[in-house]
Amino acid sequence: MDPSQGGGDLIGFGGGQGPILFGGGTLTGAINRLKTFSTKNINCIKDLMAVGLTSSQIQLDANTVSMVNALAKPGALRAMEPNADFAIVETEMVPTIAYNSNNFWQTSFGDLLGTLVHEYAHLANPGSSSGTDQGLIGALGITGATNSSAISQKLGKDCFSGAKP
Amino acid sequence: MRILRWLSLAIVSGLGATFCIQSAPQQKASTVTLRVLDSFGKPQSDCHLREFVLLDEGRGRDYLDHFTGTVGRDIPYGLTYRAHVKCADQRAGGTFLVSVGRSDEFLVLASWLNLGDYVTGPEARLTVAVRPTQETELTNGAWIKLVGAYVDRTEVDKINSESHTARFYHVVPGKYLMMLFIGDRVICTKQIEFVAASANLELTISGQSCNMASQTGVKLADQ
Repeated sequence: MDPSQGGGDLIGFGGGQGPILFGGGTLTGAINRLKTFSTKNINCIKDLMAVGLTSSQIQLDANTVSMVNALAKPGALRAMEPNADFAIVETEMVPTIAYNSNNFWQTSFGDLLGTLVHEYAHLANPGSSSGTDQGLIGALGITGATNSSAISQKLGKDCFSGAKP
Repeated sequence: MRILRWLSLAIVSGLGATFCIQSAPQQKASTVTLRVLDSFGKPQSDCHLREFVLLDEGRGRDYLDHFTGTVGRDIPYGLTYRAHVKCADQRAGGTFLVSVGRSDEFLVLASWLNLGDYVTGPEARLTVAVRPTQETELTNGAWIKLVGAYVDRTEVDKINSESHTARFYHVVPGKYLMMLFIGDRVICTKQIEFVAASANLELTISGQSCNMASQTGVKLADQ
């Protein structure tokens, strides 16, 4: 940490190269968008088939998956990696995704929608190797991925390109 | 007489001051020093504290303005905080739950450099197979404990008496101390670097020591 710096600003790093700082309600807006999701984009349909999802399953997940704000629940925060954006909470009785908006790296609304679908893909493949990051990366034909964010970015690009909050 | 009166006044004032000091609330403020590393111990540069929010009583109060760089002063102690650190490398830093429990608190905030989540499925991320030179060495209850050298994480598993393996499901890439226990004895301690799931490590036990025989996805850090 740079000792000369105190708190720092509220916007991302690198003169706009960093993550968008989503306003309150943006995540809710993304989930609402997915509640009525459908697509005719062939690349998106291929992606969804590859990761075991359908439009109707995405709609169902958006309507039923419990979303937990980890910044407001220390137990959920403790269960997540310090720098994770979203994580499946396996200890809950109902499908649950915890999120930490401090760690949102997404640079567009499409990235955020793609990230939610990425998490739904994990939920769609419980207890199988096809539901792991490596499984999803392989199914989507992504090469050279160094982070699981590549899954979210591909889904965002193929299914939600140009989407606005 | 005047001297006695002054002396009495001085004694009463002194006692009053003493009682005042005794009845005044104790200062419960801490100086907090932060160190930001990755999970392998590499210092992270160009990082900034974004919040240092109290989670207990007075919930929600942000002590960010008490910090200059890595050092925060007059931070109430005996309490839990949420520290959010952002670094130029987006993968570093993160949000940490920390406790401030002493007047001079040193906190290591370490995370694995990763963007997104880390889902590796139902299989163990690290499997340690133990090969004793005498079969009886593992019958007395044997177990392995992993302790994060930098990340705030520990995980324990017993060594299965049939497969002679211990499995770890929650470790993330980073440096760990691995301790092998048999009964109440520490047989050996190794520094390892867990690189990626699914990793396998084989240990051979010989008397009071052990050696790493083979490995994938993990390496010995102290050799």
